[in-house]
Amino acid sequence: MARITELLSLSESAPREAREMVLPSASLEGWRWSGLRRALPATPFAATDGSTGTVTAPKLSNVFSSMTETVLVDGHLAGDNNGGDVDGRRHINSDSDGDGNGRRHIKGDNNGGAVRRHINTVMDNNGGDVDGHRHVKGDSDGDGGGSRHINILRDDKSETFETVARNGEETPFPALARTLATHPLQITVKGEIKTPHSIRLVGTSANTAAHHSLNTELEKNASLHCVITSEAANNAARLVNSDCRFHLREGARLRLLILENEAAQCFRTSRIHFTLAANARAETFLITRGGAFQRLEIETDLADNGAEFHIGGAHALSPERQGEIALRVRHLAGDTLSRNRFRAAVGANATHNFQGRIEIIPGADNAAAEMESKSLLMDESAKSRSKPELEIFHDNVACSHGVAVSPADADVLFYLRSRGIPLADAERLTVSAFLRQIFPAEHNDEFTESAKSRVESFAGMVTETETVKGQSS
Amino acid sequence: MTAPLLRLDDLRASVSDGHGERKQVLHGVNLTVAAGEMHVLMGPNGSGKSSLAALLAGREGCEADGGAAQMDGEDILALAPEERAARGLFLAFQYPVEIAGLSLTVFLREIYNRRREREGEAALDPMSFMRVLREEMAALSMDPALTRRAVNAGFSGGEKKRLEVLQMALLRPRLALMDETDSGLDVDALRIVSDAINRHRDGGRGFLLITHYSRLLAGLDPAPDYIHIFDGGRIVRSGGADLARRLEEHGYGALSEVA
Repeated sequence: MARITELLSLSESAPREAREMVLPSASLEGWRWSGLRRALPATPFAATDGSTGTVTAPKLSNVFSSMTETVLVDGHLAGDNNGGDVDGRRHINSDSDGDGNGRRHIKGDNNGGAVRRHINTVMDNNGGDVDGHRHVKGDSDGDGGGSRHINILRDDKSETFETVARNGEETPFPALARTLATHPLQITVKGEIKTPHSIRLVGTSANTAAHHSLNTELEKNASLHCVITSEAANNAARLVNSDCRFHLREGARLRLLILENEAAQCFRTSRIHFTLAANARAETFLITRGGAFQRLEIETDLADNGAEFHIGGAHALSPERQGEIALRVRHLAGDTLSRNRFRAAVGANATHNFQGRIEIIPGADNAAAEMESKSLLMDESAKSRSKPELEIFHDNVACSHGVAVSPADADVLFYLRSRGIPLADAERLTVSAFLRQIFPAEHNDEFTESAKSRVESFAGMVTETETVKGQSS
Repeated sequence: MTAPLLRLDDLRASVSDGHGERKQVLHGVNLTVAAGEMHVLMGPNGSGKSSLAALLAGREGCEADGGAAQMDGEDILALAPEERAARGLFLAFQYPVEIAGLSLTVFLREIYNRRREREGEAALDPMSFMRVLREEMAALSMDPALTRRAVNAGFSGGEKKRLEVLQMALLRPRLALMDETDSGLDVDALRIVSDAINRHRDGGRGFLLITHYSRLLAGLDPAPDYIHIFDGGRIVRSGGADLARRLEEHGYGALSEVA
């Protein structure tokens, strides 16, 4: 009970804790370029309007016509909590066994009383079992026992917010997310999951802090399409802090789409960590609008031969917003490949930061890495800072990086306008075309097309001044 | 009395030299293009032909210093580029720009439907538009696979010029300014472009062609109504189709005296 009280207290004091602690500098020069220090004194999760509401029309929902879905509202699981289990555990078994109905079966109770509750989702493609429990790994009741493949929340008291943040290379927020996540999610994938799985992090209330922890494990040769959306249903200003881990075993395939459409006053931090075993392949599209402050930390370990990591990140920063990406890709074995392509369209008085580092260790023979960050400034007051780094400790590798920051091309705008397209629409098309460069030219499948459509919808917002509650635009 | 399609009176203009100074490029252009007419501007490099086209289309940085430019009696210099386009002015670019990431099909559908809506017609759905696009591309012997690319991305010089003509076909402008559309074209492509221009000539449209060579003119039927020699930022001589032939024989120097 004392532990629970401690955690609740920490949740409430998280912003202050973050402000007061010494931010680490071990990773990617930490926060050197970050606007965090500047942003914190005016944290958006201070009271704004105090409104609350229901999730009536989330902007990013229904990405695909059919998909399994897990929804967390203000950090808490939304869904059927009236199941019959009496063991105090929560089990979510996603029915993705090829029957096409896209339904989940949620069982569990909600009366455990603990502030944290683990959610294990096991997806398989083997059919046959009707009890929905066949592939649940271990226990989920937070007692530290059982045989989970990955422990998403260790109850080892040595792994607390403060110790992890200060001892490891992480910045403090991932540890904070793991520590405070009310409903940590664990997904284990077996076989090929054809129906995209959606995880929606929805905010309905201003003045709240939501912490999310997601741990996804793809077993050998497993395949998953996953969509993670983070959105504020009522333009809610809030702190959203998440820690997502993807562990791909040998030959596993992951396609991941991350969509963030947070409120202008949102304070967003997230860390996404990929670990890829031999011949595993992860392809990620990240499409985001930033916030009052946003920092995305992406860390990838290509741990064994033949692992491939592809990421395309698009920042569509509306006026006054801020967005920051800290990327770190480690080639820890030979014949590994990473392609990292980022684009940022930056509106008036918006700020974009990019730090990217490729590391190739000694012996990683024939590793190949590309990193590219380009920014399009849509106003003279827009700012973009990019800093690519290569740390190569082996000779036989192929690495490249490139950075460009430029204003909108006047010739392109004139060309479009000369065809009858008004300036505002010409700018929208220009931004959209620029951001769509994150997609490989040959990709036109449903997954990619869905991501492209999100870029379209965000592109028009880069040059539009937002109306923030309590302010006039 | 109906105003001419295009009327230029003592039009003077300057462009920035990139160092804060302005350079005068047009020194009093007088020209009238009536509906149904085709005019050809020929002149040496640097004579101001492309600057005139850019000024009329509304390119930023090219500014009128005096005189007037009217389309259907309306001062077009006061209009934004898109407003000029909406009134039926079209510029086929000498150097079409590449727009990485912007699907050619999406772009063409956008400008095509905007034109339809301006003219009170319903926008076409993607499938219907593709049928129209395929027909127009076939008429220009364009590879349908180009529609899967971004605008001008990886296009050859000839493909870019054909795309300009394709846009003209989709937009059906009332006044087409074609800035060296024949440059970079091989013999076959030149014939295809000439044929396309011929198809779009009618009593309601006007053309102002800018070219260095008379080879494009050979494929135009009927022949252009007027040939103008442009030098030193103004028209120095005007005549019929035979002026182009004499120009081929004697060069600009012999014919550039003010008539």
